[in-house]
Amino acid sequence: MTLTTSHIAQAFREDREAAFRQLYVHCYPRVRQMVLALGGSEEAAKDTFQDALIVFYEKSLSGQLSIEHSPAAYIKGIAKRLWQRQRGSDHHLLTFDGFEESLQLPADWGQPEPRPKLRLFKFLAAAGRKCLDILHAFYYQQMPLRKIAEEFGFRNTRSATVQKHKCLEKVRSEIQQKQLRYEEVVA
Amino acid sequence: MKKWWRKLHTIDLQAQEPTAELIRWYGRRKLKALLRKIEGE
Repeated sequence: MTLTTSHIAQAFREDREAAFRQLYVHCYPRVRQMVLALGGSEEAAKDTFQDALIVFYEKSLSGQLSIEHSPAAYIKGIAKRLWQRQRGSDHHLLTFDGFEESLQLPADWGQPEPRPKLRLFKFLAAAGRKCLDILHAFYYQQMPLRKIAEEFGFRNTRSATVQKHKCLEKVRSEIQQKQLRYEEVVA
Repeated sequence: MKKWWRKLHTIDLQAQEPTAELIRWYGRRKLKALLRKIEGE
């Protein structure tokens, strides 16, 4: 692929799914090969690649992409760093195998403290999925309001703008009301 | 859940802009679902 960074961002804005399909075809085999060569599994290769694409996508929309060679090489670079980080975070962990059994640890040893948890999806239900979809389309996908109006069935751009504002206020108020804490919403 | 995945797919509602964090989390989650769909094809 010989695309400039602005072309990539434009491709994501116009048809995100098609752009990702293209990246999958061009880049996944290389990332898969790398992760497998570095000792990862097939599943780890998929996860790493997908997370690398997410990072790539966010960077392209925020104008932070700085591609020296090709998008494929860039994505492979991100994937390599993600994989190395993951390996670095757990390589020091050792398995106990039979030794662990011989210790006769209590069944709940190592389990997190029980505490009331608020799953994020419950929160999403309260805030309204449609609202989050609108906010996601505008802020995350950077979809123009004109297109949002079309996709979400608003009469015009003005209605979409008003609804977006209401949604933002609704979500903000939900967050404040519930005084959510980081630990409580980890899904 | 793996730590590296957590880092990318969790939100910090104690951040300065918790609403922005939530929208980003939601966006990443939707994106991950889309990528899994593409992968399965």
